[in-house]
Amino acid sequence: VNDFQQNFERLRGRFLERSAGDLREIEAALADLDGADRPKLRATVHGLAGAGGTFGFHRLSIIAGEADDALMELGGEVEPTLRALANELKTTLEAPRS
Amino acid sequence: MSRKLSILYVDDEPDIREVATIAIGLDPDMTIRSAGSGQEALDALGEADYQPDVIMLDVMMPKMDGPATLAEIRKRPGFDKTPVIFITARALADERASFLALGAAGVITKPFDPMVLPVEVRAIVARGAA
Repeated sequence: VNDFQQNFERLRGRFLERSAGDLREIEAALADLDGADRPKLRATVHGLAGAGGTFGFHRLSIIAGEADDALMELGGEVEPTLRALANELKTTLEAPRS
Repeated sequence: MSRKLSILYVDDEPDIREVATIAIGLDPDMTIRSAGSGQEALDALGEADYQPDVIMLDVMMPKMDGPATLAEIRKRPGFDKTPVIFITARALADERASFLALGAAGVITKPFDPMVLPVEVRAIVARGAA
């Protein structure tokens, strides 16, 4: 279990590093929503919804799920849900890491 | 001594693949091999002597998604009855029903708790065998 914890923390760190790139992609999409690559954006958001919670970022996962729904036209609006996701990602990335 | 339950885990997200690998690895009665795409999974299944007991498939993968991979798996001799579990970040009720209608043994929703993943897999397999 100790090995698991060590590996898990390493993967969690890697997830956060990758999320910085995801934040840049989402911010770029927000700056030009019509020109954004929707399938790529959806894959990124979908990935955050799935992986976020697995790594303990449950709020991020829920907000990403809402943006995923909006991108799939299942409910909600794309721009505000994406903006909320970008804000939550910023908060997550700026939080001190233990 | 009983044989270990052999699992093929297919997911394009490397972090999730690795978490699943180390989580399943915690169960001494399970072994896991992973693949990063549907095609990679099919290549693995084409290897002589490789016959996993369970295949876990991420639903949303580029090029060949989970349902398309399942359809290809079912065409392979020897894999028409292998239990397949879909892994999805979305599991709306109608979506879950449609996955089961495709022949999946069960659906696990992401985010999953790595510590209980082996238990969830075992429960789905046991339900299918009952």
